[in-house]
Amino acid sequence: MATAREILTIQLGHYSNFVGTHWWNSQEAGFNYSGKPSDINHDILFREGINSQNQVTFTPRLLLVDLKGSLQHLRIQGELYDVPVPDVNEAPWPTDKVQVEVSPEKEEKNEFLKDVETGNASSAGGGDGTPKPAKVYNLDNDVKTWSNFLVSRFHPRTVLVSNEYEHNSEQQPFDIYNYGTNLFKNRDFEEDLTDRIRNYMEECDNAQGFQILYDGTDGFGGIASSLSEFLADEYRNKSILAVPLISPIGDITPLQECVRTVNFALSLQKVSELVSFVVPLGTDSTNWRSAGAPRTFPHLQYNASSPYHTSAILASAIDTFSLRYRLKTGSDRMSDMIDPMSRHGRRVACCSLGLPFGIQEGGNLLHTLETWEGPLWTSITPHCDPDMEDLTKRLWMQSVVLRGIPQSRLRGAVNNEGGANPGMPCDSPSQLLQAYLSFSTNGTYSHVSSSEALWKVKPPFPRIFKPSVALNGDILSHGSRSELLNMNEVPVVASVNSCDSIGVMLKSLHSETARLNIRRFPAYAKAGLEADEYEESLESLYALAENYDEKYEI
Amino acid sequence: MAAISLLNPKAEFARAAQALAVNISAAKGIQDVMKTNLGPKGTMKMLVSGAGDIKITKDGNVLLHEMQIQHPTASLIARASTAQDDMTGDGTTSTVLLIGELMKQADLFISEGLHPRILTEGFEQARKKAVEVLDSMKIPVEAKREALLDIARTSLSTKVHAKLAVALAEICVDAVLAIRHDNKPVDLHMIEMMEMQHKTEMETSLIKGLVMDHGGRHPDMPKRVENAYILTCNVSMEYEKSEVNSGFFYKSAEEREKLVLAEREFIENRVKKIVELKKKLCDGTDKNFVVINQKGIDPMSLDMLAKEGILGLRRAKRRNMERLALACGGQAVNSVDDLEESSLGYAGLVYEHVLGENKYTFVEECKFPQSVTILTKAPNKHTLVQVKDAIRDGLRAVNNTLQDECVVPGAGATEIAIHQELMKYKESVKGKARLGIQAFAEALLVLPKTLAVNSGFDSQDTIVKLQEESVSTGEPVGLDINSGEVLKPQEAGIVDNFIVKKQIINSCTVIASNLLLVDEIMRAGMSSLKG
Ligand SMILES: Nc1ncnc2c1ncn2[C@@H]1O[C@H](COP(=O)(O)OP(=O)(O)OP(=O)(O)O)[C@@H](O)[C@H]1O
Ligand SMILES: [Mg+2]
Repeated sequence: MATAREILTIQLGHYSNFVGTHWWNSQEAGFNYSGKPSDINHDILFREGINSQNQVTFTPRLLLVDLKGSLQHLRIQGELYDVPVPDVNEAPWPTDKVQVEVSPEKEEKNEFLKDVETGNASSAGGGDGTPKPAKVYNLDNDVKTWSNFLVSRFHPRTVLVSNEYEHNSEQQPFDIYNYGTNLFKNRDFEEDLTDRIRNYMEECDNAQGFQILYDGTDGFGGIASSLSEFLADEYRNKSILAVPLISPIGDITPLQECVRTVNFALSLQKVSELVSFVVPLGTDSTNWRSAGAPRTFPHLQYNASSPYHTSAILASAIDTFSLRYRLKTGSDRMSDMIDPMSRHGRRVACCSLGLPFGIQEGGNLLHTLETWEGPLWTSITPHCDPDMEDLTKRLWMQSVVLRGIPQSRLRGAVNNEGGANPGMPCDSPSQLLQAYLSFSTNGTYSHVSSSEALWKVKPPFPRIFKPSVALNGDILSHGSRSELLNMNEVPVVASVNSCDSIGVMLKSLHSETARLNIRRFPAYAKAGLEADEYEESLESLYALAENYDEKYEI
Repeated sequence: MAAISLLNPKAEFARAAQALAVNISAAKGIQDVMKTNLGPKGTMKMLVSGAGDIKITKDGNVLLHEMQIQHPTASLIARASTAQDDMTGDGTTSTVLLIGELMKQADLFISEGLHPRILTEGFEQARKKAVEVLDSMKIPVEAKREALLDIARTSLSTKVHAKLAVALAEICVDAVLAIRHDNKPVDLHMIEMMEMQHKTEMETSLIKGLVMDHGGRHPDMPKRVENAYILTCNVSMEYEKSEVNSGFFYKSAEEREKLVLAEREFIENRVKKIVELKKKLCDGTDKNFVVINQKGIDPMSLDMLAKEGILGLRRAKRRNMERLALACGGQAVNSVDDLEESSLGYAGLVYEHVLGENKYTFVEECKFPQSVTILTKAPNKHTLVQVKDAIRDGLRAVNNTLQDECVVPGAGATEIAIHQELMKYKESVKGKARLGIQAFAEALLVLPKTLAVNSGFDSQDTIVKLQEESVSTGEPVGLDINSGEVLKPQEAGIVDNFIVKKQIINSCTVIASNLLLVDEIMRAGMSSLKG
């Protein structure tokens, strides 16, 4: 059963869809129709189908949920299967009594989307082709919703819009955890959602499981909880990897900040009880209530309050760490990554990312690692700061993926350092990095995988790379990249790890929420959350944190 | 007060008089948007989104969900109306119209200085009386096909064209009657709704059995079998590295391999048990075997089944497990140990239908189907959705009737009659509250008036005709929407659900009163109603 390892991805919420949009765009940009085939098995995350014109389609194995009014130019049904034209004769009704109401397009499509439509964008979506001078786009001001930069085309089953709540509504914001759990109790919504999942799963010969990206700080956290409960019950032996996302906080009141934190705590606690593994992601260093300083990456300059920018960083991490169970060359499944790490009830893990993995122009991996200074990567889980070298901290286990370093860049052509170097016996990038990690960490078990596939960062990926990063992701030793060209691709390293720092994060989340008087937030009670239910949930959160205390180590 | 809880807490307070004016104008606004929908001659709306998504509807409930309503009062009315639909499945448009009209009528009196409190007292008295009158108009209905067809047709003819309404009405009635037993309340969920984007809506049909949206996943499995045992089960037939074992590392690749094999064998044994039963029961006979599994079946297991000529379906809907047992007999099993013939169901015919990338499996010719499927067909997604919505309304109308054991005359008859009775009743009431009763009575007329206008007739002429006829005959009279003349609704087969009408009267009174009594209203989002 090594061949079919399908995974269904589920995105719940607007920010999750931002992350997902970057993710699918970049994956498709990496589709290679000529030349050397990629070592990524795309059949895991994508599905093949046939549309009504008998054309073969290849679309993300994806189900996403958002609210009314969030799609803008995107058709709910997608464009691949059936493109309806309004025709009064079609309504089963006398035509003189049919009133057609066309709501005006809210905004014009941005230049990038227009070019994609006319086939002029030489960027994502169309393989790599020959390098021709491409148009440079700056979408920073144009992107309001994820559909503003979506290149991928979806199956009609993918997009589910809830009509109960409106996107960005001030009247009835979808901002309370229990709004989500209540929405899931709505039979139509629940049936629609779970039936689409069933349709996807029915197609799979031997699915690995699910990846759920969800907005952890609003009502979608509630949907994620309820959905996890359903999945854990209905698909008992499948792995479920949940990725709670923390969107940039934006301009909100202190009260709303508390609400975000409460939502996050409630959903994290519940979800972690039900799924196999949880990796919370966000680009702020700390997040409960007010945001701490944004995480810094040596080669990135990004706008920390922009969902468009930050989601691109998180997408890079998710694509990279998930390669471990998506390679043609390996047979690992999600469970191989998850099961060993989630022992002792440590079902929450954190993630670190090196974007790009900084390798000098023309340099090789061995030399790069030998001369590396400082940490290899930056934590992108708020409140978690694993440090491999700090002897007072514990990092038990990590699953690392290094991508974009081909065999040919393993070490220099001429190497006069002799056999003294521990990296020498290694004959693949993963072995080399593995060796490096075993020497630079303190009792950490590291599993390293590698892929030759670079991470595609052409438009609409945002322009967040410093000028010192070359078009191919190498670090220029001097000079800078031309601003007139689009970045193409970069090597990336990502690590999912289990460490005591997660316990610290969970405890701080607990104390932050435990000191709030939930009665001061009547919306919760009105939506059905009882005070003792809240207490109980916080207690469980604390118990979860205690799993990270060393004394529980067997 | 419940009315305010939906409003934005950030808002400022507006003065009472202003607030009232705001409420009244919001109620009128939403009434304006909805009034063209009412009745079989109402306007169908085809909503096209900026991206080109199409939604066709005439249903007040659907429309209210599609609209972006910013105004808090309007949104309150919208929610009250959709709550009406949640409870009874019908009457949303009427609710919006009646609340709007109650507010309009109230406005006339309030502007002359009458206190809202007095009006609402009158409303309450009127409401009680109205329900009494409605009670007296009940037409008893037996659970017979002919009688139920009227209510189904009336409901459906307000949602789809007449020819389709007639066809769907039969489907709805037959579906409900098929699953109804011993006068027990019917669970409409036992009617499976399946859709096929294919042909036209006139091909929509009732299947006495089950239709599933998946098929065999093996090229050698039969596409059509007759005389089939049906095994309904919830048993994994898919190799899975069980999570239970996940507590440890494999010491070696061999050990891992061994575990994989053991797990594989475990699954194989399950499939073998099914195969054995099939052999025992079917081999040498003309009988066949079908497995419908809620869990997965992986390629190796499919292969084993296919070799035996067994049709195996995986990942069936959870709810279909119950439906299958009701449709075919037998029961869903959670284990294949000790399988026996008695747990199996039976179907005379099981066959597959392929449409593009979609497969459908029909399980038909069941002996005593207690679960049936309505298979909706239409050439495109938006018509499918629309027809399905209409069918749901039809089913609920039939079901409401069975529960009420009665209907009431439609076509405006109840409103005319209640109006008349209230005007008499008013005379017996002392004090200014009678003005509230009068306002209530006048407001009710908005329904027949709107029916008339939507059918192209003058509203005043119509009301006068109806009232005269009602007085002279003393019988319920309604509007013939084709001729503009008077008709007897019961004879014409135009009837409404009692519970729907009652609910409309009750909830409109409550909402309108709340809106009138509002002392202060938050001023948030006062931007006008967006359609
Ligand atoms: N053939 C008919 N002739 C006259 N009136 C009719 C006829 N059929 C239905 N009606 C009337 O139409 C009204 C119902 O219209 P409609 O179904 O459009 O609105 P509703 O039930 O208030 O709201 P909803 O949109 O939720 O169904 C009822 O008052 C009913 O008596
Ligand atoms: Mg109706």
